[in-house]
Amino acid sequence: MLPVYICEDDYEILCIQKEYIEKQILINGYDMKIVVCSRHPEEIIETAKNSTQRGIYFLDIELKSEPMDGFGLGSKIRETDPRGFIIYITAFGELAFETFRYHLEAMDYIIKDDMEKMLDGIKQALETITKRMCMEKGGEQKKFFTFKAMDVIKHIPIDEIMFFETSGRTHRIELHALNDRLDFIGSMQELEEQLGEQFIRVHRGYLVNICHIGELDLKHKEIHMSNGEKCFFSRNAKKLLLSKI
Amino acid sequence: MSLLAAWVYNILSTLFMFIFILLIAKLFLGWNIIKPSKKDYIIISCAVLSIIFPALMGAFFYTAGLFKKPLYIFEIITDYLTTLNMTLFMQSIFKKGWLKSWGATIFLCMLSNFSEYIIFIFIPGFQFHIAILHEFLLYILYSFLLTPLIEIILILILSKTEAGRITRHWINNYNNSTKKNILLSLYPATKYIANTINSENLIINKYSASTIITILIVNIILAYMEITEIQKQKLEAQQINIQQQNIYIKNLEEMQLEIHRFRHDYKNMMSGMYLSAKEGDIKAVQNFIQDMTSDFEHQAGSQIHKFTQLGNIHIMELKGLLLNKMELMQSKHIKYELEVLRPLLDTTFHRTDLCRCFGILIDNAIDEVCGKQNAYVNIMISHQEGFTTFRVKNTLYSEIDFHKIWLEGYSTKGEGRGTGLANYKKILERYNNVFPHTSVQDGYFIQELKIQE
Repeated sequence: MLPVYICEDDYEILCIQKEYIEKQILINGYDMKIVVCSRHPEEIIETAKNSTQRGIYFLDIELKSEPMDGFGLGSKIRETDPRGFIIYITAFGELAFETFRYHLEAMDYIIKDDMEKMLDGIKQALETITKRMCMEKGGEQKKFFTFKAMDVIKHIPIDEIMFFETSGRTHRIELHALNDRLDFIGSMQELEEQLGEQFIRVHRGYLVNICHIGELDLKHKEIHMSNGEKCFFSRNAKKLLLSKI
Repeated sequence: MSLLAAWVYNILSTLFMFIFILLIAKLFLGWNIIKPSKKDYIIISCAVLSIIFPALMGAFFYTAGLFKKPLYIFEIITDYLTTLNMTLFMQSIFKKGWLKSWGATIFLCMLSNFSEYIIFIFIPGFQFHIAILHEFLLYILYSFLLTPLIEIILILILSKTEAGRITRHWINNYNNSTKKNILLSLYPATKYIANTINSENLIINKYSASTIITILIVNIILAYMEITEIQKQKLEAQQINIQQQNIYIKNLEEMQLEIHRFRHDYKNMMSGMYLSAKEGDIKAVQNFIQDMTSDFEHQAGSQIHKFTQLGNIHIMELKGLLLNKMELMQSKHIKYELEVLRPLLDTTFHRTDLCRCFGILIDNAIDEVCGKQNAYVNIMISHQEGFTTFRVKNTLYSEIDFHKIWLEGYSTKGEGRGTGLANYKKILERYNNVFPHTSVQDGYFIQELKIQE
């Protein structure tokens, strides 16, 4: 049972949303239940804090006469429920949705100017959540390399990572993946321990995903990765490399 | 004095000077010691150990009686060697770049020379006779206690006055100006030039006087150059400011026109709505209201929204850049959004570099989507406690070789382009608190730059 939380400062709209969501749960037999409908963000935080379950949150962005706005509420929720579904409902089109998605991993953004569109948006959000939950339960879980990049948490699919490279500067590591290239602070040794056997340290400065090794250039001590990138290996790692592939 | 004694003395005094300049660089220039890695420790110890060579040379020249010869060639050689040595030391500790370290070292040498000689300026022909014990002790007291004391007082005076501010400014912004480089690099030599003038009957000590006068002249010239440069920069900033305001006004006028147009439509709509309401057609009234709000959003709302976002940026240079790019995108009919949720007051990333980097990212985005269908660019600037994120996201049309985009000359647009990202990377290499992230996600190309404030 997924708990549903609604925070909206307009009482009338709050009632409409509540009624509609209840109806949708009944009609479609969703495994959800509304636990809090409130005009005050504190109530949402209090209840969510004591829940161990992943929640669904419908939040208003502009909360008049409240100490925090939807963004603040979202970040509070994320502290206790990192995997919950946050959907923002707002009167302002084109408000900063990318920012919300970037920092809070907000799932959707519904505009409430038009009542019909708003309800339709809610309906679709509920459908998407159910679909996602099904997928996570059923099929194989994609494994992610999750790490804190300063103020946000990033997830990179492990299977897409080519290699990690130390950069010239202290504690800085460059991640080379199929669709990502980024710098972060970390240590090779910790990464080696964290990622396990799929990755081998072929050089002081390189930690390579064995699944992506294309070919070895023994003469130049180079590894050609499956995406065309190259990295080096040390003499000591040669034997280990040859035994692994 | 034997060669060995002179050598040891030289080593000790240079070491003392090293520690002293370290302190002053930290206190007066506000330089921070970068946590050294293993390799750096080796370099630092090399720098310290290499003191022995200039010290030995100086000691040798001294005992061989080569000092105080015409042209002062040997003093000059020793001085340059010591200065080079110190530069190596400064660079390995503060990692501010060779040129800046060189400039700062010479400045600090000037400072210590100044404090060394200022006392004797009115005592002509004064010399310590090192061979006599009590005079030698006095000399030690003088060079290890009195001189540093004067230097500290000088620093205190400097840091409280405008002269200190200018000095700090030119050292910290020391750039590739050839004039400045020559002037500074000549200093260890120029201070002896005045010495060669033969003047027996002066009432002032000519060694002190010539050094001090040289130092003063060099510093005055430098300060003058710095002031003119600051003024030039101010003027440029003003010019940019005016340009920005022009764009701003132009945009406001356009917005006003749009609102005017909307007002016209709105009057028509109102009269239509009035009729519908009179007939009791609620559905039609609802539709009218709907149309009107979306119409307003379309015509003026989005423009107003963009300007509110822009208003959150308090870095003038960045605002100018964004205005410029926004106008460019508008003229190319690219749909774009700008998100600045919280006010951005300042960042530790150097402003010019920030504009260059962000400019490259936005230009790349524009290049990619220009003339394509559903072209969309999203620019996000987000300032959260301690971190600022700059992010450009655009629809991606061409397959890119993800790892090749960093190479100079690679471009999806044919030859003669593609220096952008290579440059971008080069700029970022200079910063320790900037973290880039490039990715392709769901058909979007995303470039992100995170700054740890």
